[in-house]
Amino acid sequence: MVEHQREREDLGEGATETETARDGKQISTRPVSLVTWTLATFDTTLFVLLGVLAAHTSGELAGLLAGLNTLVGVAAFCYLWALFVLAVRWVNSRVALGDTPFRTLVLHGVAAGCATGVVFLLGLFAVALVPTIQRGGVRLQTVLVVLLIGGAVAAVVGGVVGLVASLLDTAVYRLAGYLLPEAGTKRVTEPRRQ
Amino acid sequence: MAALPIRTLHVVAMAALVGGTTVLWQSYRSGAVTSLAPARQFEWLFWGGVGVLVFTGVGNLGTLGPPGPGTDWGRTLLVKLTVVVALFAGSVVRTLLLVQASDREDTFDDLHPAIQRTLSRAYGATAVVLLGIVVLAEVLAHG
Repeated sequence: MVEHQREREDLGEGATETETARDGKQISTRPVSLVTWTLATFDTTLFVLLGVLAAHTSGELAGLLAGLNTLVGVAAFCYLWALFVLAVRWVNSRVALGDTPFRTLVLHGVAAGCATGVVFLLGLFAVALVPTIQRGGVRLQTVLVVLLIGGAVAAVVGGVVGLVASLLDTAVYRLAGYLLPEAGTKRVTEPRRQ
Repeated sequence: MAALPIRTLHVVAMAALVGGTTVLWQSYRSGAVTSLAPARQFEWLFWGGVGVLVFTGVGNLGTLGPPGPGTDWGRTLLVKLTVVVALFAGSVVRTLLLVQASDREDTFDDLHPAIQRTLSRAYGATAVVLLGIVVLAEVLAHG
């Protein structure tokens, strides 16, 4: 949990450019920990891949992808990826995967998922609708109603994704701890090959 | 227009992942590396590469216009996607094992042999599965 603690400290005190490592050397710190980067990327890619698998098995994949511009798809994926990183970072800054009660972890996951869903939708709306509104193509009241309904749906979908992701993240973290071999006192003492 | 750069990025990311995991496998197996630091550095690249592989892979599918799941090509794609999901699931456990090992060891140097053996096996398995995915990709591309 050292990495989580470090991230919580960084978030609490403001990220520093360098910190003293455990072996005394100065190492550069990153805005996210390796655990956050790994779990966020895992969650994002799994979310997308399961969607692709479901679309492929139902025979709808070609139709779905045909209507999607490549660059728009890349931008949407990167946006989703960034939101997952922020969501996982927020959860990891508040709770530790290894030693936090399960209920607390899941509640944080659901909250982060709801927020991510709404922000993702708002981003898409901003890109797709703002130019249309500026041209006067859509009435503002209509947009607000669509935003309210869409926001509620996105929060529910995001909450479910957050719930599943938090369960999955906790499971893989604990599985990794279970598979970690017990280290005795014997260490590798031979000199490193250059 | 964007198809060629996307395809190139896909191949480059896969090459980085296969190369990196193979080097780490051999390094931990032979004892040339007795520290967790190289693996931790590589894991940042690995997961960045995973993200790149997914969005470029979906982009490639969009360009190709994949046939349905009932065709040979569709069945091969189904197998490939399933293997990719399994690879990611296995890889996330490997990375978190590495992180917990470095937390527990409390040093990046002087690695315990049991952990070194586990990492060697984990990177070896990752490299083998990645090569299997390359073969499936070859089948999809060239039949």
